[in-house]
Amino acid sequence: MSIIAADNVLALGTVLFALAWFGFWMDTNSIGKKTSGVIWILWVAMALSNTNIIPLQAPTYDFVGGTLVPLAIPLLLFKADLRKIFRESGVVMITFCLASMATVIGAVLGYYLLELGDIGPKVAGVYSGAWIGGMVNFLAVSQAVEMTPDEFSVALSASAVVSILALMMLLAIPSVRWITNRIPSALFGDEIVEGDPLLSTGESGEIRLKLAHVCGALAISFAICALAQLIAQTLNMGHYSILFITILTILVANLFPTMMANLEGDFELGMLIMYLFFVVAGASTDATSFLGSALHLFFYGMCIIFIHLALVLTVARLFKVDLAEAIVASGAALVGPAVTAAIATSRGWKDLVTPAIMCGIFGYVIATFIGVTVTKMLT
Amino acid sequence: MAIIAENDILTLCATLFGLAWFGFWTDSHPFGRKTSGALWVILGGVLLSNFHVTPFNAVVYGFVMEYMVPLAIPLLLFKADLRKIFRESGAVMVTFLVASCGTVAAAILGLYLIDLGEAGPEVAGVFASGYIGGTMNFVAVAQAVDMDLGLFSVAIGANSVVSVMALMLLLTIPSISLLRRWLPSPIMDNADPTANADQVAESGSKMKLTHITGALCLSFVICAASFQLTAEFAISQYAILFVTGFAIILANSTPRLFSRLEGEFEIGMLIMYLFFAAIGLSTNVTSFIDSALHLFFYSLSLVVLHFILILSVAKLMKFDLAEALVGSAAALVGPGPTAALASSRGWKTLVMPGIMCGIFGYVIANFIGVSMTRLLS
Repeated sequence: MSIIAADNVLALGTVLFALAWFGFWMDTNSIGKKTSGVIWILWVAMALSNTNIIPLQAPTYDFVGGTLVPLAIPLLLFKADLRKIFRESGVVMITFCLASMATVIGAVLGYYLLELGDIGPKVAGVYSGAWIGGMVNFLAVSQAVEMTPDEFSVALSASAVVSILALMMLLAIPSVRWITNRIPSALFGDEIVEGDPLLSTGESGEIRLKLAHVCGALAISFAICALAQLIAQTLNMGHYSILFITILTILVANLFPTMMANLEGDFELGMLIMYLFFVVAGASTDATSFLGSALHLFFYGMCIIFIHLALVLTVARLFKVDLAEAIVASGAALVGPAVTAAIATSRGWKDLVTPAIMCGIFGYVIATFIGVTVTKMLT
Repeated sequence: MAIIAENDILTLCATLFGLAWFGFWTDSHPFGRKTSGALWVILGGVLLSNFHVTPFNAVVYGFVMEYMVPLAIPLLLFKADLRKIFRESGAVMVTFLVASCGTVAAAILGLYLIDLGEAGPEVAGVFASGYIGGTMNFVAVAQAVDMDLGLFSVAIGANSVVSVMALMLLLTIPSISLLRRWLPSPIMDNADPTANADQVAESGSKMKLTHITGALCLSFVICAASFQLTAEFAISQYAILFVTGFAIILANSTPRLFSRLEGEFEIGMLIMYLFFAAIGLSTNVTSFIDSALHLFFYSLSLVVLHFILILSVAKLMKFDLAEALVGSAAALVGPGPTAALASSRGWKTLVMPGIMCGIFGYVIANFIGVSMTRLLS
């Protein structure tokens, strides 16, 4: 028995929000920015449950994992206005699509190269989702392919480490003479804005808390989830309700683009729910099984990243794509819109900032479908 | 049977948040601001459930009432820094305390005027707390004295209608020349009504996830501790009072930390509105139509008696009429409208004291309301 009982809703609520708080706080300081708050949340939660301070299973966890998580997906996707994305992404979009294909090829090749066991197809799908879109897609694919909490935590921890290494590589590439000689870039040589690109991400600073917006966004999310569940159950494909949620959300986002663009705080709420879910995933993980497979998945992740970068750079050389564009497209797929925008800003590639963000968001839109398809193909 | 099933959590949540959204939306319009969004949330809920769109009972409502309401109380009290309140409230604090006593006396007198039967003590405690603090206290005391849900819904409806009438009265009194002559006020004579009428217009807080998660986490700690403690001593019905107490202790032990916190009050409000939605949805109108009129007249007589008492005391003690009105408003309608009243009349020096006394009302009202119910029954 754990110190905090499984039915003590208030005490578990405290732990959930305390760890989410810790995660967001880590994200604001320099250690956290370099290591990602998500990993800290997972590991601390795992430590708490495996030392029997909090339970491994509880109704509260089920509530977060079952009812709250689907809600996060609409909240994170409300800003996916496809018309705006295509209008503002320009040529980078083509490179981004190539980069996404490179991720899929990396995931499939890696799956055949490494022995991953039963969870192989699931991880391949989830990782494809994550390194085309982002954490939302990681989450959505993992739900659609029915990953267990154990598998989820291992896969997420491994991928978080790999994502950071990928970011470092993206930052290093423009400094590698061997590559810049082969793939020239017209954009290089502009003034380089000094400073740590990771520290200039501060996106959520200016968001105001408006209750009508928050309530409205949540009401629409709940309605989308309810409808998606209804559709999925009628079609007898219950565990794919996440896919229907994604589709319905994209519909809403594109039917009322101006309304959704004005909405404030929706994305932040979605992040909050995701962080709460990371706590739950960490807490439900058995540490012994975690250590067993974490290293495997880490190598698998690295393998995907290497294949991805090798392919993108080769294609860039063959088709004479500007190196800066290739890096931004690759970044939009691997590390998501915000971080890629930060890379572009810090390098002084001003024209690439908006395309980077747009491609990254487009990644959020498509990645869940790609990830689920990859899993289906490999099983 | 209702159209939406009892166990359809997602659709019911969509309904709850939809109603809360509607409430906040009406609050942002002139029409809603005059009538209070809370009233519309409840009314919307009542309509939905009584036309059998939604069920009268559901796990979701229970969840909101049982877990979320206690959670809202610390969130709404984190800014109650008593040192700051006493430092900045000045002479208005005296009139506010007189006004609070007036409310208590009026609540008890009202019971003799209007027969409320067995529910009398509960209703008196709940209304007294509502007209010293605010809606939060109304809700908290109702939970502590175990008020029947249907009765509560009618009571809070009556309360908000009468609050609006009280506010209108507060706005008219300074224009009644008879009263002005009877109760002289140098503050009013020197007032400059054209001065910054919307000085207290909400500046809007920023949404910072570290603040929100941190505040919610502390609120959970307070609730968990209170429920654990009251369960040990077998007085769990008073858990809300412990929640209030702990929240005030915490807010006053590190006031600077809490003064910098952003967004916690808004989240507390959100929970309150969800609660109003849940209350509206669980009210079966047919069984409470009789008590509605009783409660309305009780509430009205409470406010009228309150005014008679405070104005007579003001005459006896030679209070400034403006100070008396701000003290009375802080008790009856809470800090926000009081600040609006003071600034719209140009009583600049009374804006801050009005807010401070109103917050002080939040702090004390739970304890006063619960003790009244205990004493009367």
